[in-house]
Amino acid sequence: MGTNSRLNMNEPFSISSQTFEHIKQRMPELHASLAEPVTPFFLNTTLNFDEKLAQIFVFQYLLNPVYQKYCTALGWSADDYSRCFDELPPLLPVQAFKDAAVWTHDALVGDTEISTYLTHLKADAQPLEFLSSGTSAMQRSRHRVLNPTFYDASIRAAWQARFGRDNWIIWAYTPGYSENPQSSLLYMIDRLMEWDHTQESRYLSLEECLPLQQLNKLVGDGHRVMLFGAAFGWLDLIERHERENEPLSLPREVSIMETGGMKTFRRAISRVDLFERLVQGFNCAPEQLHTEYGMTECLSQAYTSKGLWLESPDWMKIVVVDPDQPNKVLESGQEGQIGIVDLANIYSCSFMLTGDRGVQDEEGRFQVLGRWEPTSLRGCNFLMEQDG
Amino acid sequence: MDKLARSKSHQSGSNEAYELGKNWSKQAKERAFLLQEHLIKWFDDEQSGMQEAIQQSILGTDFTSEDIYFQLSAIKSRLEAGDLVHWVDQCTSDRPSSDESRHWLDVQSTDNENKEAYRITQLRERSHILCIHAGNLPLVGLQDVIAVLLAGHCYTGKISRKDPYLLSSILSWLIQFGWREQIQHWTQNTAEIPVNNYDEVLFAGSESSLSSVRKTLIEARTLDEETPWLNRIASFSIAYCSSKEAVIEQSTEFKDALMRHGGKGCRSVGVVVSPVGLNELRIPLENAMKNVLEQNSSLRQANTLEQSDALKQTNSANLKKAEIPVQGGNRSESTRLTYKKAYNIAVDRVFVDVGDWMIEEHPIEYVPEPSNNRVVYWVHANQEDLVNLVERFGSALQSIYYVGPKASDVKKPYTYSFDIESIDSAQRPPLYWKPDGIDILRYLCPFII
Repeated sequence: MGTNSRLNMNEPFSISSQTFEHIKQRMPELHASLAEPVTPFFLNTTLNFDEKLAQIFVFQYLLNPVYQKYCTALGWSADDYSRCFDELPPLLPVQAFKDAAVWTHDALVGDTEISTYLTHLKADAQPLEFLSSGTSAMQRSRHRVLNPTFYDASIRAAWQARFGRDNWIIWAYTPGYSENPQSSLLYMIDRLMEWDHTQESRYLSLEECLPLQQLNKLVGDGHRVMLFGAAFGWLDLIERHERENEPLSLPREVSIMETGGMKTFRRAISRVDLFERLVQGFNCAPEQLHTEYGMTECLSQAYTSKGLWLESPDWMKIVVVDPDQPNKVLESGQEGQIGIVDLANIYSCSFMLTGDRGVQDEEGRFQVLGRWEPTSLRGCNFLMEQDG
Repeated sequence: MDKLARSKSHQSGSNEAYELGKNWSKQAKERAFLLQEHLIKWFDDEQSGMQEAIQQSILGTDFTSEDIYFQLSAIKSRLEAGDLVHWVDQCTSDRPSSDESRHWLDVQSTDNENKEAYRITQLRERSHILCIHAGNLPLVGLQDVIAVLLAGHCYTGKISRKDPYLLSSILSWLIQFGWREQIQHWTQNTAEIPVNNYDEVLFAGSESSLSSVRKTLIEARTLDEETPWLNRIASFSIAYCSSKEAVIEQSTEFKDALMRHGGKGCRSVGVVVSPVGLNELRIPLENAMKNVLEQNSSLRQANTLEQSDALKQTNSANLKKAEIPVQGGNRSESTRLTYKKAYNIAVDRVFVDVGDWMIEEHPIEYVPEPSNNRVVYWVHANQEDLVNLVERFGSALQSIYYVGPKASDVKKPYTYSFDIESIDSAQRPPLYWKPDGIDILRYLCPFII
């Protein structure tokens, strides 16, 4: 029978002072990083990944009511700090970001607001709220980021881990995203543009061809340029150049970042086909193509490191799990559902089960193979068995 | 003759078509009487092979004995009620009006008119129909077989490996009674489907497998590119429950509509719409579902002991002994539901779970298309909202059932035409029920005027 211990998210969620003391004593590093404006906890180098994971688990268990109920129902408790070293804490389906408020919010410690203790949560730290793409009639994911500096730090550190500390000029060609001002991807692109010291970064018109002359000039001046855009946007651009008889030939110093969008108003396309089409269309080398894997619910991004394989930053762990038993991590090479542990998601939930199908290699890199479709489908059909 | 010329020829020959229709009607009725008689004999005659097929199905398929007996009982009662003759009468007495059939319209207007004109001119009496059957419910392909035979066409079947015994037994039986000319061949292997000039394919497999099966058959020259295919699309049904009392009073039919055949089949209820919230019905629903599971647990124990004896008993005794079984309960399914339950608790979703079954309440704005057989969505909403849901689910929706005193109280959703059916017909539909809104007999006889 379903429990109906409804929790009014407009009312403060409270924990006892004793519990908060427990956090402080048991997890001094985490507490210090949340209470003081120091290095974000997920970038802490004195603790290893598992130690940080365990501390964050306990923190989120205690302060995130949605995650707490999920874990409790699966037999986990705040005392399971050590258990986190042996097994992965429960992965919350990302659908929860649509169905509920998955964040630490208005928590009270006894009678005192938690922001008294965790300065990042003070009212002057304006939270961000990201929404997944979609129309108003659609149920969209809502991710409230209580401390935007964590997201900024994650964007910068992940970018530098993959593309180094060199300056990059960002040109964004992002149809669709411009319609969603609460897009986490747009926020990320904005930050990357801000960090470009040449101030040459900008959004491109979706109605025009690539300004090749300007692009060549930037390259001639010794700059590196990253073109950001969704898969279908790039295909549109290639077609536009073909139509207008302006052949594309991307200089080596220019790279393309594909940000997803394999199946929208255009026909669905496989990643292999997409890459072939992009290499051909942009007349560039495969090494110039990159993919970013990120989502509204996640403050960290993975980037392709070799061909189609994605690599996550040090504070983000990807697992491929059995969809029927999400606590069972599959071995490399086996297809399953992608789970993410993103330690940058401190004030929401770091343990997520995506709706994506994927596979991992022995080095922990992964590929996204599409959406995970349930196997137990309804209907009179769906049962056309294979012969033989 | 090209397609348009054929179409023109068809128009000019309307008198001929009228005569054809008249003759067809007479002959079809004769076929209906005969087929009805022969099928009932299959149930009643100890030598028909039915018992053997049942036993093989119990031992060699995923169906439970309870579901097999239930299904056979439902079919037999409909045969005895004269469904086949009624079907022919219904077919000849009225043509579908523009608002009567959802997919008939689709075929004629949106799909493309030339294709339909081609189909009309191609399908004459004694056309060759290839049926590719699904096997998720016992004897789920029987309706297609009956329609082909009543229409007067020739049947070739690709029998599902998931239900290989029952339909084969019926086909073998019918052949002994003079149906050889129409029942030409059946097989379980696609590669063994004989090359023939098929005029139509009735395909019950998934849409995703359609193109590969079609390609295989075309490559093997079993079919040509132009052969029309009719595939099944709908995957679930909706029940509208008018009141708490109605659900309690009709709990037997209601739980059958949800839980029979493990929730499989497009006639099973995947979404319940009611002005009563799930919380208000929590206790009666839990009791009803528990009751089903408990009854079947003891029934299964009894069946294990008596199975061999029971199979030797007279058919009708067994046919009445069909409680809803607990099916498919395995570890991974149970783990999956544990996670689903935890999720519902986490997001404060009202739900009822009994065994490996779950009913979840969703807001009308966001209720998804049901996908899991054992998870039913409850929508706390009124009749007006039902219309919106019907539009949203579109062709995935098979039927709308009414739980309450008067089905006529439910307003018909205006965009698509659905006959509002009583909840007790969900798993015991007439043999002329319309998958995807299509009267399959009428579909196979476009020449009737």
